[in-house]
Amino acid sequence: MAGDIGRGTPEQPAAVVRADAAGRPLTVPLGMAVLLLGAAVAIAVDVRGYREGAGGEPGPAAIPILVALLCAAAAIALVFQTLRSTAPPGEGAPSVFPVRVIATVATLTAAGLLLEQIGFFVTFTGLAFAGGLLAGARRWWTSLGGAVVITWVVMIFFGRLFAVPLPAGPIDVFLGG
Amino acid sequence: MEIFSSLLGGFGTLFSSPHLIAALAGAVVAGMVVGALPGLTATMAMALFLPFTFLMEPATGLAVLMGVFAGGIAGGSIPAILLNVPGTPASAATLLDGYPMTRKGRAGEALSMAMFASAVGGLVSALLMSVLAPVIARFALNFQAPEFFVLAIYGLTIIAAVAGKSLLKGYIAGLIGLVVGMVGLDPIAGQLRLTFGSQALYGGISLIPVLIGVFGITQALVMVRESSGVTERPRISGRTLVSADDLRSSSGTLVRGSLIGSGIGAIPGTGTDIGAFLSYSEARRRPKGRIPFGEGNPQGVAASESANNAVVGGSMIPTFTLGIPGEAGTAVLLGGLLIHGLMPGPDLFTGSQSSLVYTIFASFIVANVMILLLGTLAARLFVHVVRVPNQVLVPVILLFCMVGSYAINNRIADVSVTIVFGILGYVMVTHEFPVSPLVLGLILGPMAETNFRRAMTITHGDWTIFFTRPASLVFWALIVLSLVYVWRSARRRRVQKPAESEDGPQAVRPT
Repeated sequence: MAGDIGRGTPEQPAAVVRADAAGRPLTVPLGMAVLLLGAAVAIAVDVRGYREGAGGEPGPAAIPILVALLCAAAAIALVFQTLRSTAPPGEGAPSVFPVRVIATVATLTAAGLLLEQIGFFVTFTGLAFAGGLLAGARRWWTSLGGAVVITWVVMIFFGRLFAVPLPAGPIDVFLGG
Repeated sequence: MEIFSSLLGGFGTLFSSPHLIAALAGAVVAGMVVGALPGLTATMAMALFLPFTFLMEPATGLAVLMGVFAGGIAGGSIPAILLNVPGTPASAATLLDGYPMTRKGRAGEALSMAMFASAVGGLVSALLMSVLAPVIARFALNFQAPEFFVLAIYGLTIIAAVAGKSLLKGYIAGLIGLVVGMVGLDPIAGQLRLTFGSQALYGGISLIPVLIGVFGITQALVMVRESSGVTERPRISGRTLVSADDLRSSSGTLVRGSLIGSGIGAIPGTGTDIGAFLSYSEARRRPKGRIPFGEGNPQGVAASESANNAVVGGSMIPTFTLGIPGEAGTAVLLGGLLIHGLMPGPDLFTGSQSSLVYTIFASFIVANVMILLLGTLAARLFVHVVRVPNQVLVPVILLFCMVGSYAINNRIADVSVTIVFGILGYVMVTHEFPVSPLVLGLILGPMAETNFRRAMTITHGDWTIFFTRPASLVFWALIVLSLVYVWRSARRRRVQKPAESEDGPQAVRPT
């Protein structure tokens, strides 16, 4: 994604490489338009099974249909606005999805999936450790040490002080969680 | 008279509970620390603290949110003065004179002026809020479904005001909020909508995990992307207290800034930055004194900081009395009220809940006094706070977001919602889609629909009910005025744009 911002190739001149006025790739605005159209279609499909309104009340489908129409209109307007705002050649901005951000998203997703399986302490120590490294920590052991301490403090704080039933693995029980 | 006795009752509750006072002081400090960190906003601080407050008594929890809100806005002045980087958007006007004061070796004086002005602005707005909110609420008790529907529509037109550079992108963010708000059981007929067979969605998508995602996770991802901390080493030398002369010469500015901020805050869709800049430009129109504005005039700091903290109090008036959050911070506060079972609106000021409301008001007043004391005493410590690196902040933010979203209902599904909306928020902010309209759509969409359908049921489908009641007509007039203002602003921007682009390509580059 980073490489296609307003630079061009010999086969594809830079002038026709699509980017918005700030030099960012058009993928996200166009993706947002697709998301809106998808939402409009999903609503249109879903409202078919709704019951009718009674006594002058328009029913549960009325507002969703209106919102679906607005979504579709906004999607079309966004496509037009995005395609009209092509940046001049060589005006590329840095990618909004550098590897560090993608890795952080992957770590967050993994933490969400693993939380119930391996428990609070291991999951969130891993998350905090990875977060520190991805944010630019120079020494991995300080990042790991900090992650262990802060996760343990949070575990005791929420688990003991506020009695939140955090997902517990064997290590959590051992550490007093 | 009744209002003052209720407010005294609020102070009584506050001071009879040492742990409430301690929690409030901790919240003010925490808010100031987060506000002092460049890039982190008071709204994000509130979103991070929201799950904690859920685990507390309602009075303590809501007092904590008020403390974080007020402390966060005041704390934003610290990096603005020391580093020329506004800690929060609210302090963008503060750096115009605050940083020149630092460069002249007057950082301590600038900081103490900022804290004093923040406290004055907060106190004036808190008193106005305490007096006006119950009066407005009493008037709003007469409102019924038609008025609340038109009011919600007025709230949704605010999206245009908080949309930022692109109106279309603001409306799109608002539409996403509306769609998300429709998921789950519909409010009148109990019809399941947009759940697609998933039991996890039957109860709808909760507001709090969404708030934590779009303000907390999003910010962490932005920090990972930028991954650069503050390298400058600011120092405070010389006097640490503002002189009596500067205080005397700034007294008029402080009062005007407080009133401007309170008034601006009471208008939904405005915000702390607008209040601060208006107050600053008003101060500039007055006789300048010995130092010109922009070159380290303490009055510049006083104008900006008194107004931005006054906006906080002002913005709570429509939030508490009408259930209309004017901007992101009050939307989070509204979330805090909801998780404690309090429904914002005129009913909040009647019955058993009213004593809690006055305790919240009293805690906001005390929070502002604490800002003055803590901010002045701990000014030298905050120099270290502004230099905390991202590799420390990012893990802490991520951890608190994940734990917080889980702790509300002990559901993994809420953690997933936080992650999804964090990623969506990141994609949005990096492409100039504002996230505040998403939150407004999510809060106001269900309010608009419920009251629309209730009104239609009452009148058996007669639409004229929305145009025949006096209060509804006032709100329609406000809607028309807002839309005209937005249309004129957009037109002005379009006219300015070609002129700016003639300045060179950097005019359209991201900042």
